[in-house]
Amino acid sequence: MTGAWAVTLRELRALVRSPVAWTVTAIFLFLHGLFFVQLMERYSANSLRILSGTTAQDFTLVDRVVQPLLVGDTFVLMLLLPALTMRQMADEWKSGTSDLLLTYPLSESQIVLGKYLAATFVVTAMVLLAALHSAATAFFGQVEVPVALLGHLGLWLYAIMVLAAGLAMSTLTENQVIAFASTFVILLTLVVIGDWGVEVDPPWGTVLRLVNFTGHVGHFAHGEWRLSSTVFFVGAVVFFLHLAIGSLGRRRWRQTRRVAG
Amino acid sequence: MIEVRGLTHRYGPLTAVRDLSFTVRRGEVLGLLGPNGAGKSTAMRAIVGLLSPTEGTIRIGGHDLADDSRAARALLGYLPEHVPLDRELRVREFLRFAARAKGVRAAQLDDEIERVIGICGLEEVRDRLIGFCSRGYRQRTGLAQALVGDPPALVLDEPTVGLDPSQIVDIRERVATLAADKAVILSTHVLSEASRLCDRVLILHHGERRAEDTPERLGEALSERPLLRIVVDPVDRAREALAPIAGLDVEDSDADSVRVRQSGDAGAADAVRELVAAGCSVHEVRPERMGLEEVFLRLVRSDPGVEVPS
Repeated sequence: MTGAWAVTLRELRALVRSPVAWTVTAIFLFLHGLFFVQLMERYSANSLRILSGTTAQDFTLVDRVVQPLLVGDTFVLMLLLPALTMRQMADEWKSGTSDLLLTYPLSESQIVLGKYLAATFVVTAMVLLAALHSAATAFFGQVEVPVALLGHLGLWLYAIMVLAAGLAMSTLTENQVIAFASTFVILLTLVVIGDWGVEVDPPWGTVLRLVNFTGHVGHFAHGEWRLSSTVFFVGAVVFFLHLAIGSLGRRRWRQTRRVAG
Repeated sequence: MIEVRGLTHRYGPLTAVRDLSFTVRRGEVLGLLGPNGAGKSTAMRAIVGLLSPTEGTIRIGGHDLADDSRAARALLGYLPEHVPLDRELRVREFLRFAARAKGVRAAQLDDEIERVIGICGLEEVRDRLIGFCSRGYRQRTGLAQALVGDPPALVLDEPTVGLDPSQIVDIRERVATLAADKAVILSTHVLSEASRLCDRVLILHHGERRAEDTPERLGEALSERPLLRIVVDPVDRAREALAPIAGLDVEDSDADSVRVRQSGDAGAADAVRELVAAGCSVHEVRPERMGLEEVFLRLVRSDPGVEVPS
């Protein structure tokens, strides 16, 4: 674990000194804040309509603010997080720093886990900062705190799944743009398949809906803890990290590029 | 310490290294010489575990690099040709990472980092971002990361490439100091560097071993026909006077001397007699040994008359 921790610390230092992590965090918080203000405005307008008797529909802050905010965040993170992970191995291959990394007595698992942990720290900070809006809402309004907490846990599980997918794609190529695009395509494919599952009858519809990650985040945001949702996110993390470790190992031993001299 | 047996590496149909075998003991510096494309870097990348050889075995300190890779790599320090460092880290942070990655214990981290900073003369830049360091300091940082953890085997790929003359001298001196208790493999294009630093030189050409011996013995082995350096004035007339002598071939000349190879019975006395007869002033006649540069050139030009020592 010392080796993985060494990689984590190195990666964290590199992340905080590069503009990418700061830019990704800033854009995420900006868009999250924008959605929050918009949803709160709608919530206020609807509340006024209820008070004036023009509508009788009942709703809560969780229904109208926290839940749509978190589902909206999944799409924002789908675009932003691949930018955080695209450089993680692709840049090492391209700049040649992988030459040193791979000659140190570190296993592929230690390298992948170290990099993954560093990105996870950044994403955890992002989700915690985003949770400040929900905390403020809970402070000034009526929010079921356990439900909001579960919702943010769902968002965090989703985010660490995206990181694992991004890291796996980054081990496959020297090109950061390809790493970014391929991660985005994987996530978009999951959205399309999951959405398709809604229209397909069981049993195939049930199977297809398993990959509907916006649905899983939605369950968490509604305060429903589902084993299937947790298993999906944790399973996807394990799958993508396994893919990254395998890819790193293959790349170490199957270098086919011609070297000078 | 480093044992390479039957190392062959192919890139598709191209064989970059063919059946290369050698050993390097502690306290010994092996120079890997060869023109571009000779297979030096491929051999070095295989030795440090960056590529898997098509055939052959590599053992570091008795550990097989394929079967027991991490144990073997734990004994290695590697300086790649184009030192790839994390530019956004400070020198000390990078060395701390290297030390942790090599398993240096937490309690010894600071002492170990200060030790390599001292050896490599990085005191001035220890807290500077690597991206802001000069080429020379980056090279020293690369050397420092190879030394961290005090590995018994060092693999240095062109350690002085791209440096200015004073930096070259500096790095050479540091490598020479380190070589005392380590097994070192050093690749270089600079033949004088190999002459000065290496106990043994292995010359590669087209991926094959062309020669392996001490720089001095390589020179002797290839200088089968003795060379004479004659300091004479004027040089032009001397060349004309020496040309007709059977068994003496004028190889080259400079502003004040000619170099003559003895290929028959004629010797120094015959040369001096002819030169004096031609009105030349002979100031000095001395035997000359072939330098490593000439050995290298003759070997890679595949001179059929040369017996390759091994």
